[in-house]
Amino acid sequence: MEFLKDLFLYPGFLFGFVLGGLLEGFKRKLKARMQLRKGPPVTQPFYDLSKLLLKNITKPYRISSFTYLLIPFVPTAALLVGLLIMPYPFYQEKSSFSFDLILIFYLTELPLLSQIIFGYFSNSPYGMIGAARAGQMFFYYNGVFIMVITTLCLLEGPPYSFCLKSIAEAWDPLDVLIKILTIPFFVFSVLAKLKLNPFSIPDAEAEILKGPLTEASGVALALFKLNYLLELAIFGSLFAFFYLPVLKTSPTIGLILILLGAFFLFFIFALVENATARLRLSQFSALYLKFLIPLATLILVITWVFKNW
Amino acid sequence: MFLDAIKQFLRYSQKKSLWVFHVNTGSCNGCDIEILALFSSKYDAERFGIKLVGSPKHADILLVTGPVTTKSRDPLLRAYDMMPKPKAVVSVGVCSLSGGVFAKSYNVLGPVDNFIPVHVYVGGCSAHPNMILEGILRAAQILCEEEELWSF
Amino acid sequence: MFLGFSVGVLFLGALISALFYRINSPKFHGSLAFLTSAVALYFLNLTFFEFIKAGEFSWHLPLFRWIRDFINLDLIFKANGLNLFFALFGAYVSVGINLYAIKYMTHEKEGFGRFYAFIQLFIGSYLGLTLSENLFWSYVFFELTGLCSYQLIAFWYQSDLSSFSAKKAFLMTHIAGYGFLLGALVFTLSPDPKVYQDLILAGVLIAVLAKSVQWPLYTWIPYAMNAPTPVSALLHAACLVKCGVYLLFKFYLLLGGFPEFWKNLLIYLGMFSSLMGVLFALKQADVKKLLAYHTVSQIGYMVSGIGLGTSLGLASSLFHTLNHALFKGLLFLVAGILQQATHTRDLSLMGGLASKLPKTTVLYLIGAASISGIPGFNGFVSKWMFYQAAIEANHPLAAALGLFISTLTTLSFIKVLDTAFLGKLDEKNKQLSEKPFYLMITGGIILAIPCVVFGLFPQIAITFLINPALSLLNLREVNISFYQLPTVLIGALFILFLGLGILIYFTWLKPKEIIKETEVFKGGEDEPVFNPTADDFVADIENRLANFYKKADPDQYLLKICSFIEGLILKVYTTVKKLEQIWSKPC
Ligand code: SF4
Repeated sequence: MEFLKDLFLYPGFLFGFVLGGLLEGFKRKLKARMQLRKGPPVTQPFYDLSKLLLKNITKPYRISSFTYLLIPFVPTAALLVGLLIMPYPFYQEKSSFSFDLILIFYLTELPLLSQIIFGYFSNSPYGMIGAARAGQMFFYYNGVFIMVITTLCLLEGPPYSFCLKSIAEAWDPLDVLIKILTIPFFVFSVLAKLKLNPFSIPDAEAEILKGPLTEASGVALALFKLNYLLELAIFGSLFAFFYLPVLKTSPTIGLILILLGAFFLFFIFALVENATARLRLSQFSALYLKFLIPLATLILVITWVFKNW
Repeated sequence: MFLDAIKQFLRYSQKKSLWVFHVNTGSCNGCDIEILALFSSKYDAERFGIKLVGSPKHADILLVTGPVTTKSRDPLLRAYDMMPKPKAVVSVGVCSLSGGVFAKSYNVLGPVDNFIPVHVYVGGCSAHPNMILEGILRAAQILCEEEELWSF
Repeated sequence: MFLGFSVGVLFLGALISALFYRINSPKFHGSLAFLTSAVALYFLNLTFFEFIKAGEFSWHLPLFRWIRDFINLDLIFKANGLNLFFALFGAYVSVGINLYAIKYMTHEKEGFGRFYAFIQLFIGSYLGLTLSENLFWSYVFFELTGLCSYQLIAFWYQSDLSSFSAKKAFLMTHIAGYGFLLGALVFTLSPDPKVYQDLILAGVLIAVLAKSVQWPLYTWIPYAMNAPTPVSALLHAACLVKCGVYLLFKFYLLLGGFPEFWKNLLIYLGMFSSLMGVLFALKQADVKKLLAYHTVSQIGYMVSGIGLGTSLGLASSLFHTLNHALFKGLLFLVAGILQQATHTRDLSLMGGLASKLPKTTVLYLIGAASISGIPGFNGFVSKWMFYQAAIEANHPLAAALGLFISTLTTLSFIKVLDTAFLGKLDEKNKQLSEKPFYLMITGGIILAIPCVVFGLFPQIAITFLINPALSLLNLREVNISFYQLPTVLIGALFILFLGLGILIYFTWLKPKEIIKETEVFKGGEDEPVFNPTADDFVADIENRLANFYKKADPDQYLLKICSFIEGLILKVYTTVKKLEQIWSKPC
């Protein structure tokens, strides 16, 4: 019973869904406001999602409809597991897990993989191009993301461990300095992970429609959207865990801090989205391969040297 | 009871979330530009949850501009076929209503409603963005009220 | 007793196959090989149970008594945690692959006796190498495996490419033999091996580099792919390439741990060759070569794990060895099916095969998910252990590199999935059916089951297979409380959700007929606009790394070194010849 409550209510489905939806709505509203528009209501993502649930499905010929629905479904379950292993306040005793960060990293990869597979599976030319682009981007931004999480893991210890909790609890002055240094890298890699504006290359609306999701419709599209919202919730709270003293305070304040952190991250995203235009794939890869990955590696090495000194 | 409430909510969300797919069947681009203006900050259609989508498979509402030409008939029918139910069609501009200035050209087959059912007609050459907005919202009303569109 | 039997029965089978080579029937030789390997597996299982009950024991066969005083040539098979671990998974994989080969080889016309004799000889000598306690016999078996590899790669010896590849593979794995010989000689002859351990380890390192395809001596493995697929699966994925890893473990046991310098060298060498392997794998369009480069990259994890030297590190290395044999064998079997179905190995000529070969696709998905470390499959668990071990041992760079390599692995397997199984179906593959491949698929299933089982319940493998080996190596046992979130729960959750989804699908979506079929949206065009192939998938990465690919291939440098040595020898030879001529000139 307790487990079901965790799964469906607090750090599980409902929490992630509502938080992700509000974050997305907040970002859209903020973006509109920055362009002097009125913008959609904050609850817009929920309307979109519930509308999609009731629509018919139009799928391409000669494609098994079961697989058509299964592909977006698997990452939903995976992301729920991801939410369940994060040490949210009021819940952290149950998720005392020694190297959860790796698991979270892998689980948050699955939505993108499912999209890449879906793009090819649906036989759509736009889907294939979008999938190929998404796959190639995957190569670059994950490099940065991995360096960031490894750097952060070096803060508490030795012995070091890929543990979200120990990162959230590391608050020495040196740790804070290193944490601040890694913020831009985190923001850049998550921007690319969530396919937001300067890096919205895989679903560049003007050229390749909706990229891998061009052929998704009805429930399948709703599931993809749901995955996206859950991803937003996970990355928003990851930001809070990394860069705010969430677990250092009382659980209530911790929860408020998580929400604050997540909304702050999406404020930054809205700013970046408004201020930039989409890059080409080659520009994107040059940016990552020539600047971000080497710099992130440098920070990792410096941290390592400092810690062993 | 409970199911009814859910149904009500779903219909309400259909009204609040309108994804629009735009097909140009041989218009002079005048109406198309007005549709683009719809999403600029002056008219801001996004405040009603209206969004331009790239694929007919995601769309609720089909916007058609221009008379149907020989070349564009098949793509129009295909795009209409690909849209999942419930769906509505809004024809924008006199061209799509009657053929307009292009009527009786050698390559024009006729107005849009000869080929697909149209729910809302928006007149004008070119149609004013406010009127297009009004048309889309009317279509939304039809979408969530008409029983037969939900007959699955 | 059974230890000797398990090796002996394979040698016997090889002998029978070789003697009756005139019986030109793939069924006869194939079933014989399947039978012998199954019997060997059965005997090994018996010894394994005995080992669990009674602890270590050995089987002694006195040989060449008269030379006893000079050198000990007794054949000793020892059943301990490490030996049995390597022998068991080898025997298990060989059963699945032999079953597969029965059907696969029916496409050939001749040479069955030769093929199966060497296959059985190979399995026998691999088991002999892993079980043998006497270093002399280990060396003999080690060289025998290389010899079998040479013969099996050259199965189609009429073709120039095959014989060239075989020669290349043989020469390079022969280097490994000298390395091992050096290590073994120094170890047995020196009174205190600790003093000469650098020399020993240098020898073993050469053996590992060449046999276990590490940078820079991995260049033979892409060529070795010109062999029949069972050979690639058994030798160049599961067993032969693990000999080097086994030697590392064995010398870890004999020397009781490595010094600090060698540890660091192993960690970064492993990670570096892993990175090289995966980068080269990314751009391959030939499915078997792609898998071959992944072998390089996955073995990098094992070598690196040994280098970490902690109990978690060694456990991850052992577990990855087991997992790699399973999933890479499986992937090779799938590649073989693809090759026989489409008569090509080029990914860009395939496409849309998932609709024609659904069971094969499922097998491929299991293999690919395992190798790229999707949670819930065995590859994830061992990689996970590796990252944690690396960061615990204060090597964060190795951990980060490992994670990075893992994402690249995922990318390249997504590429195979997308271009071969999904996408547009080729015209000539329209008539394809899966019927003729059922026996081959059964062989694949044998390898696929443990992939899933060990992924969901890794405790089984850890308690029964890995912990005995760890305790032999004098390390702390990795216990189960290590997984604080019960993996059973995650598995149950997945199954629950899948069940829920299936229920909704069959009760609500399907009967109401709300699924309608339409065309693919192409922006109003009639013809397909663009159909990306395998080459387009990673085009940008390839462009970016074009210079790297040109410069980083070690083969060209090896060839240069070879020709330099050749030039030197030639010079010496010509001078000697001149001297001879002067000498022999009648004055
Ligand atoms: S109605 Fe007028 S503006 Fe619109 S497409 Fe026709 S001619 Fe052009």
